[in-house]
Amino acid sequence: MALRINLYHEIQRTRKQAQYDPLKISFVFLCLVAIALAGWYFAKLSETNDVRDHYAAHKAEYAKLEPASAQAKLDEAEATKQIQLAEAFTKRIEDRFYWAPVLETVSQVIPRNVQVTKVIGDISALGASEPTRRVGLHIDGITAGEQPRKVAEDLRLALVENLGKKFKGVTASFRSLDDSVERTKFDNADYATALFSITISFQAVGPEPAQNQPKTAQR
Amino acid sequence: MKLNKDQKQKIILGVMLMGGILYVTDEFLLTPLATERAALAKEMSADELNVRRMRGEIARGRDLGLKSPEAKKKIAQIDSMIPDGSPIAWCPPKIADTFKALGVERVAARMSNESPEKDLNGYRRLVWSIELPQVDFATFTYALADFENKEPLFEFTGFEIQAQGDHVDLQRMTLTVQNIIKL
Repeated sequence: MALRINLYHEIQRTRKQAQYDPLKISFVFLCLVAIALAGWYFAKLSETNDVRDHYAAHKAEYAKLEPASAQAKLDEAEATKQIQLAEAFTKRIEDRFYWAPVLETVSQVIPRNVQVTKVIGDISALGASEPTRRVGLHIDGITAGEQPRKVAEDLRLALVENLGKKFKGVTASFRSLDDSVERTKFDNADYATALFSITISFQAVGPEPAQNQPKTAQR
Repeated sequence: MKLNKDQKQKIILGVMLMGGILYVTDEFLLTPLATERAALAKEMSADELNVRRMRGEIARGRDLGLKSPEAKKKIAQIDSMIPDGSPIAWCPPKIADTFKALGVERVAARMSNESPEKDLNGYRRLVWSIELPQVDFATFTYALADFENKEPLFEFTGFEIQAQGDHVDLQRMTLTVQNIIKL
């Protein structure tokens, strides 16, 4: 077996030492870290640029929406005003009280042996359109018959019954009911008379407006 | 491998350099970017509420804008029922003509009160007193029904019907009616 003598071992050691120089390794490592950091930085920069773009788009939309919103606010206020006014008008018109059905009912109820001398009608809480308005009706007149007071009572009951078919909360009471000394001739007979005054009250929420004219109209 | 003094110094120098690079990168490059992103996100988040509110306002305005022409049309219809000029000039003839058209000849109307309408901004209410000195009940009820149906801006608020001793078939009537006019 031949012996080989390495006469360059010193040179080789120096080379190996130079190859594993800690400073060189450190620089390589530092370069790698620096490259990684640069990559990280650019990634974050890209992310930030995305956020900037998003922000710019957002701002552009904001700038576009702001005047549109201000205009929409004005339009909304104006439209609300118009709608409220139209609704108030509709309510006012629909909540009107129609007297024709009342007078029609009263004229149908009054029999031939009753003469009405005065009728007064009014609505409470004028101008307010709440549904609790009440209608007051005062009917004065003369009844004739064998029992004129009974005729008056029948009239009162008939008014309550017939007005009750159309209106809510109908009440009727005599303000006065007095026998009269006068007598009257009616259907070729002589009858006693009585003076009456009836007060009727009911809610001013009644039937639809009269589509047809009153069928009959008696005094 | 045993490190000599020179090598140790070089390693320490390398570590220090790396620390420096990390510090500079973080302090002067990454942190400002993160701060900027956070600030932008915060501002966008705050604006998002406003944007949502503004979008809501625009949508609401659009919705109301769709309903508004109908309301305007209704108001225009109502306005068209109110003649131009002073109501004292047109209202009594209008009342008289309406009753006369249905056979009530003698009609006198006069204004008794005037007040603003609190529910109807831009409008006011006039109260009129109408005298029908001689009218029979049947004719009157026909005329009243017709008037109530044809004139939605008028409302009769009261009346008094008084029999006349000398004319059994005729009554004296006093009506109170209110109507709405533009300011």
